[in-house]
Amino acid sequence: MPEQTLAEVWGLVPAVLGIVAVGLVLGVVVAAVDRVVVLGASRAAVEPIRFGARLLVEQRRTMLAPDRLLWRIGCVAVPTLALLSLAVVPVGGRTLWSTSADLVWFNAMEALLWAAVWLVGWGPNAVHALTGGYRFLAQGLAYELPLMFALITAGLAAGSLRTTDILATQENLWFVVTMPVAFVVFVASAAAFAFWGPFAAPAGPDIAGGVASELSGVDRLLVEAGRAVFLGASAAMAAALFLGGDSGPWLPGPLWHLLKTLAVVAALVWVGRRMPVLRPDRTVEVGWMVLVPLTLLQALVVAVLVLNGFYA
Amino acid sequence: MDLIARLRNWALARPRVLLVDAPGATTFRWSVEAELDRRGWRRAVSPADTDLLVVLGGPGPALAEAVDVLWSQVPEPRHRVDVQRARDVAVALDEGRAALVRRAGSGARGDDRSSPASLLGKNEDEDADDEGMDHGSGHEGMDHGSGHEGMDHGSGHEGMDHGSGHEGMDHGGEVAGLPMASTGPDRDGLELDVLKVALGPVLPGWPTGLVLRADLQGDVLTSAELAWLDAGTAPPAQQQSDSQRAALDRLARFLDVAGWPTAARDARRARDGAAEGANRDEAQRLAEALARRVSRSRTLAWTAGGIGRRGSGGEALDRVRRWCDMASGQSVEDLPAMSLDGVAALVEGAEIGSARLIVASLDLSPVSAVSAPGHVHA
Repeated sequence: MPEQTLAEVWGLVPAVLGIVAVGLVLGVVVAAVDRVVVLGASRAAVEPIRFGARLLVEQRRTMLAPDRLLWRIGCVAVPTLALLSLAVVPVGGRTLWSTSADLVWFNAMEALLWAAVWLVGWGPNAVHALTGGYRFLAQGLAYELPLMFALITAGLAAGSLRTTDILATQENLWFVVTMPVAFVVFVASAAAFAFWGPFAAPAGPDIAGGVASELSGVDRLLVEAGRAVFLGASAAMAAALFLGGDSGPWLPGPLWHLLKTLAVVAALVWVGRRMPVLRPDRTVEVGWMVLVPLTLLQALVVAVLVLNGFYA
Repeated sequence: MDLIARLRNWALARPRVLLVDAPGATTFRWSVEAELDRRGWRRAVSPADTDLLVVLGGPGPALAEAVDVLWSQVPEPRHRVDVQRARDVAVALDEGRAALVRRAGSGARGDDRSSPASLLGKNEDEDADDEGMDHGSGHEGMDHGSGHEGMDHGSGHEGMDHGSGHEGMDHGGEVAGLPMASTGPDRDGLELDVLKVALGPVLPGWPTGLVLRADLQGDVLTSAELAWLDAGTAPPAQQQSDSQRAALDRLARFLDVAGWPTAARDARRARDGAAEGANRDEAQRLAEALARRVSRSRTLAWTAGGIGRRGSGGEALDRVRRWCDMASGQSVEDLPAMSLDGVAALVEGAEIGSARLIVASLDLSPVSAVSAPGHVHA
């Protein structure tokens, strides 16, 4: 029997607005932590908001012979997909809507991002942007399968693809204890599909900003916000799937989930910013030769535990 | 002051700055970068990302034209500052910021700017009767047009060079007056799109004024050629009095290209601190810690290793580790300067990101090009 969703409890429109607000707050938090670590000064925490305000007064760029329609679709799709992926992340113990295949929904939003980022690179008709698009697809080949196996491992242990069921199964033991590999792969893949930190090659400075090199004004704001919201949503999802979500003593549940999300964000940014950008051609090799076997092994271990009634 | 104006003022309080340092303005650039770091203003990586265009020193005629094209690609609100002397920098930046806020307030939308197409048209005409600008790069009429590439759009501008008939390539039709990319065999024996691109003369971590022209298949560069803009009028060699600061600067630029912003930030801090007497010890500690971190980084070795091997000089990573030694204060003997043809051979067949890392790992300046007439092979 599925629990009530946010949309049923609050009404659809307030629930959607609530999720959008949560997503934007998460995005700002991610961007602020990132700025503080990169610039090494705590006053940098307001820079993402200043950056957003600046982009609102900036002119949109035109290029010579752009594919304007596809370009705009790509720019709008990035933040939209990020917010849609948040729809199945439990917020306050409930998801916005429940699909009986929440994990597949989350993964689908992230897979659609391939098309969105490719269009952002293709649209402006410029070399660096197009190269960034190519790189994102190459990088996608590296992280997609490990990410899917990591997600499905959590679903396997709970015997359900519904995120609220996965939360309920973790009441006694957080999944991160029995599936550390899946947890790490999930968080690293989140950085990869937001093409951030060591996986920022599609928007790397060596190709003058790559897919973002021709974006200005609202277009840039949409894409940058989308990347940050994706990271924030993935951190919240990691906290729900592997860190027990809102379970914890003394404090109210939503606060626990928030604290765990912030911890994932802080750890991700701190580790991610301590290394240079990884080249996509080399990450593909690691993705297929190391991570796919590792995540499969992880799934096997969890499957054996499930058969022994470990999670029951 | 009303709320909107205040908000606008706040939003533009830390504009993004695109620095163009004319060749020979290296130490000048250091002082400007130190000033930007003090103010917390970030550097832009592309014209689309730019609020303030700051041109340091006196660019030669070809670089000046390239900067004009770059300027035409900067979205409103924008402001351009030309600075000649280091002591004017703080004032010029303040004025630039104020002008930017005014411009944002006036709602200027840049209708006065020339379109990319008209700039291309202009170049094409000049190419026809301005062969003297070619500086022996071996491309009749190509040099000028692609010198204007600025930081982006190899595709658009380059196409015009085909249009002007200097290259006997087939193209499959035209789009917006530009020829489509043609196809050619790639390294795996497939027929792949060939795009004529030019990198430079202004890119992050790239020696200003250097232009790399090549065919791009996917993201692999082939038939690369390099040339300096205004090579004939390059300023006399600027003797680097402080090799430790110079090494830290090179390191910072390489780390920028390698996408390691925290390490690049530390390299800049150490470089700027070394100039101030009060913080010298702290800067030295920072420089040593950074040099250790970079030269021991396994991730950097894994991601940037194995590219740009050059005879006895080792690969790109070895050159960077040499700089790390220099940055921490050890004396290291100089490597012989490298000719542009030698660099072109190194980037031949490299992925575009690797090519950028290779160029960033070499200490290139137009002076060495002048002192090695006829591009002698290294």
